[in-house]
Amino acid sequence: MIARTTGFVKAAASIGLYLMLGVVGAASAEVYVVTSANHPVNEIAIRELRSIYKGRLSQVNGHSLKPLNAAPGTTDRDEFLQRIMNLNELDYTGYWHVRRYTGQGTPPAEVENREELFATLKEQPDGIGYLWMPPGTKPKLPEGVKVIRLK
Amino acid sequence: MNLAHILPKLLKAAALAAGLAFAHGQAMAVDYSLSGFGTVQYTLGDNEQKYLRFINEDGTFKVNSILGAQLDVQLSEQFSATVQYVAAPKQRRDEGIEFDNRWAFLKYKPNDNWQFKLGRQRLNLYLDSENLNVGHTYVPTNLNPELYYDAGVLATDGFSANYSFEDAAGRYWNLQAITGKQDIVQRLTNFRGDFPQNSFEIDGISLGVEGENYRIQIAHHGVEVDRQVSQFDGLPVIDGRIDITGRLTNLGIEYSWINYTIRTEFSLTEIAATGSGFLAPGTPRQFVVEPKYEEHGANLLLIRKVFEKHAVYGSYGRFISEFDDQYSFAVGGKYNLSPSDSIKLELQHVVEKSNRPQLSDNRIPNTTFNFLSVSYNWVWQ
Repeated sequence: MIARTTGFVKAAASIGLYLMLGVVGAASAEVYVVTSANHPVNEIAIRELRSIYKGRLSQVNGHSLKPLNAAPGTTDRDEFLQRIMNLNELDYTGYWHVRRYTGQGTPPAEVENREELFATLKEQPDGIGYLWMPPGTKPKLPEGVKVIRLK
Repeated sequence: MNLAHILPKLLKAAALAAGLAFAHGQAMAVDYSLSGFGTVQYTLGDNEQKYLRFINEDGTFKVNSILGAQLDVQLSEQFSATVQYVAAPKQRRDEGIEFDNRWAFLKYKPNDNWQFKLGRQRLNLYLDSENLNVGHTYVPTNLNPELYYDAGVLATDGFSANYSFEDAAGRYWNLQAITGKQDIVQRLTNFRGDFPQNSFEIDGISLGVEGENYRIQIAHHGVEVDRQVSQFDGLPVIDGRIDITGRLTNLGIEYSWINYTIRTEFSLTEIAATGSGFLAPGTPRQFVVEPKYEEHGANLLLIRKVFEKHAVYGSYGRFISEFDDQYSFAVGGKYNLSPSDSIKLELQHVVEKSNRPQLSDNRIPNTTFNFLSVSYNWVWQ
């Protein structure tokens, strides 16, 4: 009886662990959040990241983070909006249209491509951006840019 | 220190600072963002009497049509300025176009929770009060007239304090307190010349919360209106004045699930007015009137998403007071050409059971107005 119970608990735990890794993996294995290598923040909650890209949060653990968006129509942006923000381009752009014209602020600055993102992160130490990589691949980052872990 | 005297100077200072920053943005290393919006709307009605100032059987481009530009300037980490100008049909006359300042404020945001605004800003009465000039930001072609055309006051020159935060469940809360003053135009039917202005003093609070798929907002504003009058019941008046105390209470709720969004808004307006003066010519005779009444407005809007990015909708609105009773039905659609421009089409049926001089020139009870609206809406940045 005890052995059967232990087996059931192990199986349940395995399923739970698998599901947890699956969810986190779906968000973290393909979308990489990057910032300046000198930035003191090394990990960030997905909820904090969403708030930063909605203009509601500007600091994590007391350290400033200024969001940079990829240009509309790029895979980086589409994947980030879908996987992290749970929004499509129409809803995200619409969110910022309302925010701008209700006096709440302006949308994040945009970069045309990854080269511009990396260059901006080097010039602007509190900038934060993102990259999308196909499953099983990792981004090649230039010196001075690091990945922030999603928690 | 008189706020009414200081504010115009502050508004000019804000506009000047924003203009300077725009002109020398890069040289001054100041971040600025110039954006704009517009609506071109054609509306054709079936009644020879005008509804919503302009709609009759001749057709008009004046309802909701507008062209606007906004400049947002980040002066430092904590200070920013916003100025918005529009070209739109005149508010003080039914003829002509005006170039009008709709937003002009300085904002101080010391942290993510607090922000303070000083200058011209919109009031947070209804769910789309602040952005009602920007047609692309909401689905209906015409925002419900029984609510959105009733407040009389939509902006103020004053000061607001906002406190916002996200709770542990991810809900975003916003509390606003606002105080200010604004001269409001009161439209009168068949009035020749400029419509008279009322001086409104406004104080109010609003509380809003946004979740993953819902939004709730409740607001309460008090207004004190002071107006000089020169006639009463068609007779000339000496030393005539009307003092009005009003309370506006509004509730808006929006909930979305998969392909549907349902929204409802309620408004309660309580008004107590005192009018006095001396009738002339002949033997001067003092008159005093003290009407008190309540007005109730409500709407219900159901939106169905189509092909993920377009929408069709149906709405019902009603307005009831001691003097007026009106309801309307509308059906329409919004076709998003891109995230930044759209085409809208709407058919609306209005039954005016009594007379509402703010909304129509009609004087015959139980009159119906049917009209078709087509609009193109865009924003650019």
